[in-house]
Amino acid sequence: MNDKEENAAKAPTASRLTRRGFRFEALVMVAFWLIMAVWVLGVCHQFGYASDPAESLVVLGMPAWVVLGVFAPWCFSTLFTIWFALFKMSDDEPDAEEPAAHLS
Amino acid sequence: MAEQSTAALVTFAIYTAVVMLLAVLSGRVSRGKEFVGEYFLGSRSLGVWAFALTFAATNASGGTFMGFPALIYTHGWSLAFWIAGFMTLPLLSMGLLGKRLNRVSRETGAVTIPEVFAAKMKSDAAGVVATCLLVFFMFFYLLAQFKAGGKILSTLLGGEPTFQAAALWVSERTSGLPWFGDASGEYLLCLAAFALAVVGYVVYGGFRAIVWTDVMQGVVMLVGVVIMLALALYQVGGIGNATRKMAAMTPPEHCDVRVVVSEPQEVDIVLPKGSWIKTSADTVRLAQSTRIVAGDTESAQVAGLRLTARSDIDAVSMSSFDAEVSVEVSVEVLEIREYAYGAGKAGVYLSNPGPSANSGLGFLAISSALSFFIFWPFGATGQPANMVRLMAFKDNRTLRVSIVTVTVYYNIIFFALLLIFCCGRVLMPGMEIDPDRTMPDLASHLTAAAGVPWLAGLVVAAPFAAVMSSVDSFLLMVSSSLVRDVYQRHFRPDAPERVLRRMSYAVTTIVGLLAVVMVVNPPMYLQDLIVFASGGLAACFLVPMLLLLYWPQFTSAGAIAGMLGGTAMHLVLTVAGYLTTQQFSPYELLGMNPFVWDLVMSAILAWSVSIMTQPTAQPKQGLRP
Repeated sequence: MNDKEENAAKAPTASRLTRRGFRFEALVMVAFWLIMAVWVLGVCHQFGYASDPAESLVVLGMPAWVVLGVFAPWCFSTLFTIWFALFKMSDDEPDAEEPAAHLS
Repeated sequence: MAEQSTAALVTFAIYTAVVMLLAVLSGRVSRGKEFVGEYFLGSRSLGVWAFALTFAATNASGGTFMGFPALIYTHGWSLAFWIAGFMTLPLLSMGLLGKRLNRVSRETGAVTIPEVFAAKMKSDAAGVVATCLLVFFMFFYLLAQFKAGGKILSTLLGGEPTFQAAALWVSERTSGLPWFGDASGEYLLCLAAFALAVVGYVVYGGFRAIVWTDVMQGVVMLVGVVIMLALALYQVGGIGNATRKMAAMTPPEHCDVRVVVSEPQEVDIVLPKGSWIKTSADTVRLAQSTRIVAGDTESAQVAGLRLTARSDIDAVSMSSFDAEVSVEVSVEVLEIREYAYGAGKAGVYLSNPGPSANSGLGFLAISSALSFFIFWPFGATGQPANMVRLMAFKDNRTLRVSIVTVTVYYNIIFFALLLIFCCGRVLMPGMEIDPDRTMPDLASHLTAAAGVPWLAGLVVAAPFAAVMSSVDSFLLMVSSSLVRDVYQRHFRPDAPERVLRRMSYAVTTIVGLLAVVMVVNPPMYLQDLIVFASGGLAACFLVPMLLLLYWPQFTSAGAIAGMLGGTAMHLVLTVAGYLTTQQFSPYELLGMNPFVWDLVMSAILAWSVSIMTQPTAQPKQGLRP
């Protein structure tokens, strides 16, 4: 095998790149879930377990912890989902893919 | 009540007719197409609306429209925290597996989840294990959904005179029969009507009929919820007003009571379940029917609910009770059982952990909240019914737009339900005697107060649309596994299309009938079985499917170990929970939902066995599509 052939064999194929794309998108989604978990659980734990619940602050007709810890992150999550799904997820269509190890 | 039930009966009749029409139309569209791929997967041609709404509707079961409202009513704003995991559900459950699973299933020609494992891993054993576990868990799920369908329908139609006459007729004919004789005529009639409709359209139209009816059911759910939201907010005077009133509320008290009259009467006095009795000292709602026999002055001891909040007591109208009984009655409270958490505590409906009748820790401890934030999105990702839909969309653009559509759809549904039933807490006290009736009763209350009682029919159509859209998917999944993964794969790989068609129709009908016969007398703990089955399915399939799609070194032995490991952990924690509490509830290690530990066990075994074993070398011959 000459240098040219060896380099060609090492070069990432289109299918490998596609699988990496799938993995990258999956990692972004899991990372986003983790961020939302920290936001929601952090705020709700800090402000949602009031010692004197009768004095709970009400914002927009709801308890303040619901607005900050559920409503706001839910809106943010919706905007992120729209942005990610419509503008960041790729449209690579089904094609012949290099077999994975367990297929070879 | 009768007016609402009549509206529900008319709605159900129209609704069933439309569902059947859609099944017939979808059957015509399916003609001339390759049978297996069309019947079980709609020829992988779903567009945005069909894919998004079938996905959304399948995820929304009876629990969404009966159980969730009951929980909001009973525990207040804590349910916002409880349901928060849904904010990432569409992105994760559709995005994490969608593109890759769709591609793999197209490449391998797989139309069922076990077939994906068998074909991709080149292993019959992986397919067999997946089939066994899927059918095992899915059948429990199917039983529970059939029961929910029968119960919801009997709840909705209960007061309708024609229905009562028919139920009486059924009751008389079945009273001497073994097995059937123990069930009420109302439940039997509703179960039969519900099953006939669902099995009928699934058998006739297959996956495409399910998707088309899911689209209609998704629209019905949305319209019902939006109408209820507008009526609830208007009648309570805005959500701010509802929250302020909830801040002053204290939980009611469960109690035992005896109804008394000052003088013996000449005829029996019948007090139906739900009757209010208001005296200067107590305001009580009867949780059971009771009777004061002629010549007597008091009833037997029955369960009741005693209100403690001033606003609740003021909201109780005496008119419904006075209409039933025209004599002066009073109530003697014998024994009071306070809430284990939140008794006498104003504001408990506004804050976590929320009031609880049984747990001293309240409804939602922080560890439970974390568990649910994990369980909702990842549990949905691991449901085979969702995975099958991911194999059926036509292109990646459809997936991307559908993720957005389902996200917006769930935002509307779940926020609306939260607001509606917080308003319901203020508008309609005393539903703790039968929380599952909160949805239909509030629909009736809101529409009657607005002067449009006929609208109740449309509003209460949402819960049975939700159950129908779940039960049809589960039914087809079980039958597709039996026909495709058992019969065709192991007994007759070269079966002609004509035989597969007949087998599919027969198996779907038999599975449906078997499930119906089994839920005539539902086994104990059936509601807990829903949790058991859904958790078990996700624990079994999520990690192996993720690794199959994203990890090239994953082996068939690893897949089997992952599936069995998650299932074994699920069973061990369930048994441990039973031994600890003598109830069918799983053991919560460190306060976490067992699903979390199931996933950990599944991941450890799938990974460790994969690195210790070799990938399957021999290619496995695929099935004829």
